[in-house]
Amino acid sequence: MSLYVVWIATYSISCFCIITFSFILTLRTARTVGAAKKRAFISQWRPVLTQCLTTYPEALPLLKRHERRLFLHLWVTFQESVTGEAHARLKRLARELDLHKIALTYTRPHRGDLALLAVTALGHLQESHAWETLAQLLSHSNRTLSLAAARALVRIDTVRGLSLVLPFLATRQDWSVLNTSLVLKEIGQSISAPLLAQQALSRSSDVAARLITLIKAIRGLSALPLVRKLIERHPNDVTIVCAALDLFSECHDPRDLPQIRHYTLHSNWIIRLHAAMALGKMGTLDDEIRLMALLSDSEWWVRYRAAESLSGLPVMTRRRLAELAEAVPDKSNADLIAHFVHHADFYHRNARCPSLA
Amino acid sequence: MIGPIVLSAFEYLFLLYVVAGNLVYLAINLVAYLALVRSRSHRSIDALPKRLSGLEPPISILAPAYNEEATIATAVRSLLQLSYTGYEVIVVNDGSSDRTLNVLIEEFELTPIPDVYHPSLPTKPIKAVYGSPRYPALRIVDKENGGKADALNAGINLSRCPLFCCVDADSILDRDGLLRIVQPFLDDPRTVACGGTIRIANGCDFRGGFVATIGLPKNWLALIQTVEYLRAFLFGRMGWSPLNAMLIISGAFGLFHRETVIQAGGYRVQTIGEDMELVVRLHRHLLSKRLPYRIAYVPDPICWTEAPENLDALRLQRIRWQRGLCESLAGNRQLLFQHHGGAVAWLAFPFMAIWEWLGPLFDFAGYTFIFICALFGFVSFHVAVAFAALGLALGVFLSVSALLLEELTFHAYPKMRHVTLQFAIAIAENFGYRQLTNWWRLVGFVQWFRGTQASWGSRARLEAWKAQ
Amino acid sequence: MTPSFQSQILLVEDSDDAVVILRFLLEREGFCVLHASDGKQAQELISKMPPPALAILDVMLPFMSGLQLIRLIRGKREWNSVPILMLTSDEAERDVLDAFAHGAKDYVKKPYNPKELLARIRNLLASEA
Repeated sequence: MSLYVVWIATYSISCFCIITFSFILTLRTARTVGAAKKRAFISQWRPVLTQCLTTYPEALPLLKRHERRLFLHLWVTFQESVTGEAHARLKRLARELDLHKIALTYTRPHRGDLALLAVTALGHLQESHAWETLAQLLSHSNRTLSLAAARALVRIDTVRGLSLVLPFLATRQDWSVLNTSLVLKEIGQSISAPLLAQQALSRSSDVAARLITLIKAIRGLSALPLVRKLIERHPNDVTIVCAALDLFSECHDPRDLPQIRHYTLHSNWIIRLHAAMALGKMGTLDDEIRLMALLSDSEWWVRYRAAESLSGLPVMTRRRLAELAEAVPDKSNADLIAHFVHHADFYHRNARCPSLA
Repeated sequence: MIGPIVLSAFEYLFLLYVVAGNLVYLAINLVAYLALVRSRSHRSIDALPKRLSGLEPPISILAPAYNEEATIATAVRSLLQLSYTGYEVIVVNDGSSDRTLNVLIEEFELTPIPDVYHPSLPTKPIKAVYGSPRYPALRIVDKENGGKADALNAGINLSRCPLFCCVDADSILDRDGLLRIVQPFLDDPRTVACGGTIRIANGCDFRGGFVATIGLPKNWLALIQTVEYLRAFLFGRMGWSPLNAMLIISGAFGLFHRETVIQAGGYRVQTIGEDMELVVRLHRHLLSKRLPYRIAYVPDPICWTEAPENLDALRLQRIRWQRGLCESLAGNRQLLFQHHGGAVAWLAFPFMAIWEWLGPLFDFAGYTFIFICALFGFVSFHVAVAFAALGLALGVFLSVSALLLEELTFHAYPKMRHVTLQFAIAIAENFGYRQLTNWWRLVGFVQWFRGTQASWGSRARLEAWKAQ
Repeated sequence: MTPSFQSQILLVEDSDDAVVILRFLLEREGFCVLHASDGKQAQELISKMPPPALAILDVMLPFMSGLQLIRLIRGKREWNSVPILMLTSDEAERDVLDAFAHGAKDYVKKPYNPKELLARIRNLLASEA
């Protein structure tokens, strides 16, 4: 009996292998044919799109059904490269080809990268009919698609879109800070940064820290007053304070210096570390004494960053550094300064090592 | 009377082992397929205008080197040309007995520099640190010999970036490999480690230190390994990573969160497969601390490595791999069925234990059993053939499904000839090659079991270095 | 100023589509475009060709960054006065500062307005002439 089963299994598996292999061959052939079609498409349509950069073309070729995906990709690429009148002409071209209607039929998530292109295109076209569809995509589990939908929504209508997207910015941990910041930068930090900070005020510390990191990524100067308020409320929350210190050092607003200096004395060493790094970016010669004090810190990394920040202070000279190194009681901490002096000499530039995040 | 009953019980057990194993493989295959399709769906937008910023975390590349005078200069040169905004390269010369250090000093005009570092991990003494005025991102550490793990630990001590990337001095990275492998860290802040796909460099053309055209090797041994690598990476890794249960990140290319690795104790020095051991231990450490984490995998081909082209080198490599695997699993056996351990403790670890750790033993037992039975007439010739045919079909099936995954996703090998050749190999490798590697795995298993600490003399050490 | 047909522009940019767009815009204005798609190719071109009227460099390039290329160009005597226009992505504010520090004359952020790009190029050439 068992023998019978074994043979049946063997036969069926072998058949399956052969079917799979034929499928592979078919895929390969289809890809070769597809590549030829793509070349034909590019040679026909790329000149049309390039012409759009300067003048609107008089006659348009017919867009075939199988070329829609290729066209979407090419068109979005062009759209992402230029602004101004060229951008507007490309939009007119797309509308003439009914791209807004075509793209709307491709937005279902199971379409994969086609849906992604379609959503991006709808944003560029500022297609208001797509509003509902895009708003629904915001909560889709695919992070790339949902973020693309967010981008499209704020492109179509900045104010309305932002009010829809804002709650998701706080909760969707899977939206990477990098990509989210690109979306927000397109709107401009002056609009989005205060809104982000406003959200942060009413959220848990992890979410608030994430929002502050986003503000840092878009260099949201206009959010600084609100962020100051936030750390006044949570002066000892490590995640919030560190994120805020990083933001301050990115924004270089001297009004934040007293707060940063204050945190160099905090009991948590990670906060002291971030404060030391922030002083390196925006400290003045007055901070020499604070950084010198940090050179005797109990944590090695705080000492290291303090030495680095010391060497990077404005108007800091080699000679002064050497004097400071002499003044340090502990030999190994003097070595830290020596290291940065040498580093600056050696590489003929201001020593800036990659920061410890 | 008892004979036939015992026999059929064994038969069924054997059948169960084979079928269950393949069912699990099939399931992993499906997961891998879904994950790959998902990750591929982001690609066409990635191809749009470059979206880079200063937000990528800085990375320290750690390249341990032991007696690599012939290749080290080229390797470091291409490491210095990767496209990434903030990274440093730390080459650790692990007390080479040849001119490795001198070659580096001449090539990069190195001079000793005073360097401060925090010895978070214990290592053999460091003799000197060198820097190059022309390449500020490059540092060379000269230390006393202590093995690859020790060299990596020294590199970790000297690195100043939140992430470190271990590379083999003799493999070739893709130019944008760092950019791609760092993505999981950007997407998910809980990521502590990420592995990339390793492919076989033999048969590819290189220009200026990077892959120019992809091809298949002429050497048949390397050719077979291309299919093996596809199997191992496309679903071995891709299948486990969505479950956060990946147990191996190749030492040839992996990106790690520095602090987490230090807290877990760094690379273990007394082990052979230090790369796998670290990942298994990271799982165990983070699970026991109940910390949320992700160990991710990037399926794009990223790193190209030279495969052994002769049986001797291959034998050493496989024995090492098996010993490393046994040590890694046995040393972290607490992970098995760990409370709140999730897929890694309840699926991946048991699976690895039964089919990879003890697998060679079972395979050997199965073959011997059938052979003896056939010899003494307990089993008809017919039965033996049937089982052999089933084994063959399953073997081919696994390879073909890997080929399908490759075709659906990367189709890196460009020509139709490559596809047919790889299909032919998927069949041919079952006659001889598979048995041979299984035998070596058994040897590795036995060596591990008997605890033979191979004489750690200079030759063995060199082999150990080379056989990575 | 109408550029003469002799006006050569060195374009170093790695994305194919971006090159197609730039080449179209520049050639339409009567420039002759020499293109390199990575830092190494650019280096070869720079060592071989006579100095062009203008160099347009992308900041992020394979093998060698745009900044390194500026340094290379500024290091060659005949090339010393070639005006350099940088193409940057809008995220990289520091790159812009670095580029000016290294000797770039102007920069354009991607995505750019083609008219603005051409106006800046004309300006650069006029100030050199």
